[in-house]
Amino acid sequence: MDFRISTSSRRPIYRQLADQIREGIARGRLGSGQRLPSVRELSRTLVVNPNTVARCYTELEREGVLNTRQGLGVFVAEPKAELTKSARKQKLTETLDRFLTEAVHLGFSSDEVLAAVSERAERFQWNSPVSRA
Amino acid sequence: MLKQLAVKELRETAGLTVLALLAFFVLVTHETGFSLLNGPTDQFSIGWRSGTIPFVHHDFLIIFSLISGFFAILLGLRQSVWESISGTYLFLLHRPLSRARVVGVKLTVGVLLVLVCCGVPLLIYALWAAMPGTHASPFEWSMTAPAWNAWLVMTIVYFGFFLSGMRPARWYASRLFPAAATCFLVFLSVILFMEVPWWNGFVALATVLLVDAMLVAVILHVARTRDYS
Amino acid sequence: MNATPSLPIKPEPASQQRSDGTLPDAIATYGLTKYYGDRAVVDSLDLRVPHGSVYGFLGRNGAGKSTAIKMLMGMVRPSHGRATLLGEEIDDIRPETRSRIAYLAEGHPLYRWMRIRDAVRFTRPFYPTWNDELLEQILKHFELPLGAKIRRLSNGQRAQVSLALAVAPDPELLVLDDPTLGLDTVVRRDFLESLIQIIHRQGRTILFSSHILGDVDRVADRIGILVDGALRVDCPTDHFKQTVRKVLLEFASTPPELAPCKGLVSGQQVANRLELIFAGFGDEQRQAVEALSPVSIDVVELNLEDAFIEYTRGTKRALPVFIQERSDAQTTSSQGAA
Repeated sequence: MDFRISTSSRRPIYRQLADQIREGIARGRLGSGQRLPSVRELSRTLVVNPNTVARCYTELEREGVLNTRQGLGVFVAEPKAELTKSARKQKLTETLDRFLTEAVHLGFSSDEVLAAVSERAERFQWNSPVSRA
Repeated sequence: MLKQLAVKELRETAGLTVLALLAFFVLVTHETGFSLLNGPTDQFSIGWRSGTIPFVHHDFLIIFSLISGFFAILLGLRQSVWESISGTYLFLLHRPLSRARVVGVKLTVGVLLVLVCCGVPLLIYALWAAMPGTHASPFEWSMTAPAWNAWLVMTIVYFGFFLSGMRPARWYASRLFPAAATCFLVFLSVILFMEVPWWNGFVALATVLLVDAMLVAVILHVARTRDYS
Repeated sequence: MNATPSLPIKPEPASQQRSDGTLPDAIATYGLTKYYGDRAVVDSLDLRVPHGSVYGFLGRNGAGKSTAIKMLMGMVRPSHGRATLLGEEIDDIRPETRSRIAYLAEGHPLYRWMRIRDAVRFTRPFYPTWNDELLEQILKHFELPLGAKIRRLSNGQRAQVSLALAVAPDPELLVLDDPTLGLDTVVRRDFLESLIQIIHRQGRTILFSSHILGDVDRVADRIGILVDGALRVDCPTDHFKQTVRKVLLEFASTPPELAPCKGLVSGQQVANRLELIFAGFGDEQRQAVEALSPVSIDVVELNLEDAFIEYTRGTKRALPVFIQERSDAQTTSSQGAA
């Protein structure tokens, strides 16, 4: 997968990278168990300080998105249901509200928004529905 | 390490050295009657230089002093000011070597160049004059003394102008002070040599060495303590 | 204008405790000051470059970065204060220590009459740790033939030769004075890539000054910002970016004056708006700003370049409302590398 960082963005570089890794996983470009470039390799490709890459990997590991296997490298972690169903639902609602507010401000109708959501959702790799706990 | 420094100094000053040697070549051949086209002339009877005594006639001393003086001045400046202008002191001086050593190599190469490039032609001329049958005038080694005196004094000129080039003084009068001082000293020395009987070889040598030592000490001090930008 | 210190600075105790606990700072300055005439070009500099870090030294032209670096390298004598490089006092550095320090001076000076081969032959004998393979690698990577005359090289190529010569002895500490000045975008990127390679070699410390904030953002663990000779910022790069905030206040009519407030860097009035720059926008600042009863408050994050610009623009803006370059706006942090 191809990573890009921009120094003109307001977002710290390690966050940009983390965002892209998360999105890559969500879109299926990075499969679970897939190996990511080493800190050195990525720092060389992106031309950034290796500490920045390391920081990104460390944070994602802490969040459970990646895991490190000693001597082998950094891998995409298996998806786990860490949060309870209600906690996940709440997070989704918060994100949805933010997104819908923006859409209203931009002047879209609800039909337009729903159509856009359907269209974009096709580009992502969706999980199978979680069974009722 | 010192070798690399010396080689660099020699290569940088090669142009000047060649020019000086060329000038001396012309002077000596002129003095010794070697025509570049016809080879050595038979005698001085051609009318060319007849009646002039080698070494003693003032023309030679003046021209010799001019050539060696210019050489010493330009060499001193080339080795000091050039590095300032091109900013290369910042490249040269950050080395695992004391600053005194680095500048010391410059000075050693410079003063040896002055002594050799000016001294060898002088020696050749003197030897030629000393050989019997080369010219129709009397010759004694003491006649070469004023020229040797000038030769020694050129080291003062060299160090004086090196110091001038080394000092980071901001306005030119201050910068030229050592240069002006050395010119004055040279002038003084030449006069002394010609006019004052006790100003003989050893006194001159000792004085020159003393002045040279003082100049070198000042140069090294300036090199250690000045700002390089 | 800061008060100019006239007393010699007493040496401070050993440098801050590092997370690994052992290695002293690669570079440490104690009240380093330089006067040209009666102007303090470098004003009481207390710089700390931790071992193994990449430190971006920033400041506008004339802020004193180059002078500070030259003082560190022994090219300029400080008026006051002292400094240490790799633990040794700069006015008394041993020759062996100097061979572990690389210096790339501004303008990357070289002897123009030399060929690259001559420059290598000139430099190599000084360094017992010279790595010929490394040098050849770099020269080959930049396609620089040994026989090329330095006079005929472009600015960028000369910079690369300078870097190659500086890096070949495998130095522990690299001090680079504006190494990418005048280089085009591609050459700058090449240069950065070389820096990354150097960073990959463990235990190397790099101090470099630059005007290209994007490059600094990529590569530097910590940054220091010099404003009029004084070090106003000395912290991890991200910390600076996350601390500087632009606050936009909309008012119904002419905005009121804001009382001096901690962390306020500068402010400007534009019609009915107040544009304020804060170094640290917390509760205290929010309360102060809300007390003005603006119609809206907008807190904006900035990227490194904008944060730097806003922080160093200072008193020279047109139409200032308040002209406060607060000294407690400095975000000094004693954290180690990120």
